[in-house]
Amino acid sequence: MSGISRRRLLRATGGLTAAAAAGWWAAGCTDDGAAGESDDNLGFAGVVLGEPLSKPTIAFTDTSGAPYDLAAETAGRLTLMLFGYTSCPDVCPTHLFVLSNALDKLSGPASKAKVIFVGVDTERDTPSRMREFLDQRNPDFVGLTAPPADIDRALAQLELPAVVIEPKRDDGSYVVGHPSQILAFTPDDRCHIVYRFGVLEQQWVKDLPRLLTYEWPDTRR
Amino acid sequence: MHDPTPVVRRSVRRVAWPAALAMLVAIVPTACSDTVEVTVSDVYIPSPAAPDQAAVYLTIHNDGDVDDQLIAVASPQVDVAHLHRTDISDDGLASMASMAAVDVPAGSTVTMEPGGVHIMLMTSERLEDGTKVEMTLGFVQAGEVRVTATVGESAGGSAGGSTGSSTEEQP
Repeated sequence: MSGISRRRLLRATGGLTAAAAAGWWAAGCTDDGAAGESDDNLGFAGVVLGEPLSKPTIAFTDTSGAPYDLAAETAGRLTLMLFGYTSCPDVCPTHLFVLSNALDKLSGPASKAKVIFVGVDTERDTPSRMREFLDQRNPDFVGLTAPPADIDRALAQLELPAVVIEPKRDDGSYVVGHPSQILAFTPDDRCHIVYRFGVLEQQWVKDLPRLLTYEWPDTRR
Repeated sequence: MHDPTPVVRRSVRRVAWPAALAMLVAIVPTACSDTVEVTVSDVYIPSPAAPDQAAVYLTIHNDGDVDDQLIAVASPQVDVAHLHRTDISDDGLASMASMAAVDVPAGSTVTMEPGGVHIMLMTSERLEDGTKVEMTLGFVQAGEVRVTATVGESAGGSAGGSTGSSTEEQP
């Protein structure tokens, strides 16, 4: 039988929670709260990178069909970037739902964080479909696309896995493998922190204002 | 958040064999008492982003003593319903695969939630918020379980799934 076990079924979500909880508990046993040892991620819900990333340098097109100069449009702004596809039923709509809700809960500069969704399924992620997809969550979300080779180049620059377009099924549908991370570019135009799938709305609400003002230690640059 | 109001709770408790055969089995001393009891709760369909598809999440409780499997989902309101599993690799690549069956071992609770197993609905028209979607879940042992979910209602209240805690890995 090709059915999966419950353990495997829960791996992607519950398993992570259990692992995180176990890690936290273990750290608590050996470390009485001294900073550094017990929290490698500086209290953020993302993973702090040893070396920050720069913004990808490829030529993007936005949902109006116009060129989008990523560096110029996002200079000095807190920018959250993710790569997905509009026929994704699970990960992408969830990410966008959580980000949209988090921004709604915030006020001030953090609520103006820019969300950039790059559609990697260039056959189906047309500008109009992408606009409709994003508008369901937040009309301010920016949708970008680029030729497949350029997208893969951007992903390589960001040290993210390449896109995988699966073969078409009998009904013509197909699924797409895409990076599930959200990259946070801070006002210094660097990405110091990457968020894996599963970060909760309230964690974004807590992290986004901190990301705006956090002074990244030189040792992490 | 741990005890969300169930959208639908439908219980199927029955003997898996036709009544006559069950009576026959009952008089055989070695016969197992194979109680089939599968319930489904917390069915929710987040407001879809795409115009032609949506995801369904739910929780299956197998309180019987027989292993069961969810093998089919159907709804008159959609074109296709697939059982899907999202896998996220260590490097963060999210990929989806069709599943022939979702195992629901005796005594277990199986939770479908974002980033894991889900039901993908493909539709010819957008499922607008407030639409009630009736679905029939087909189990090998429990047979058909009917559920209804309202699009846009979140039973769990946390569309982000349950992994929230801080990430434990350095890339």
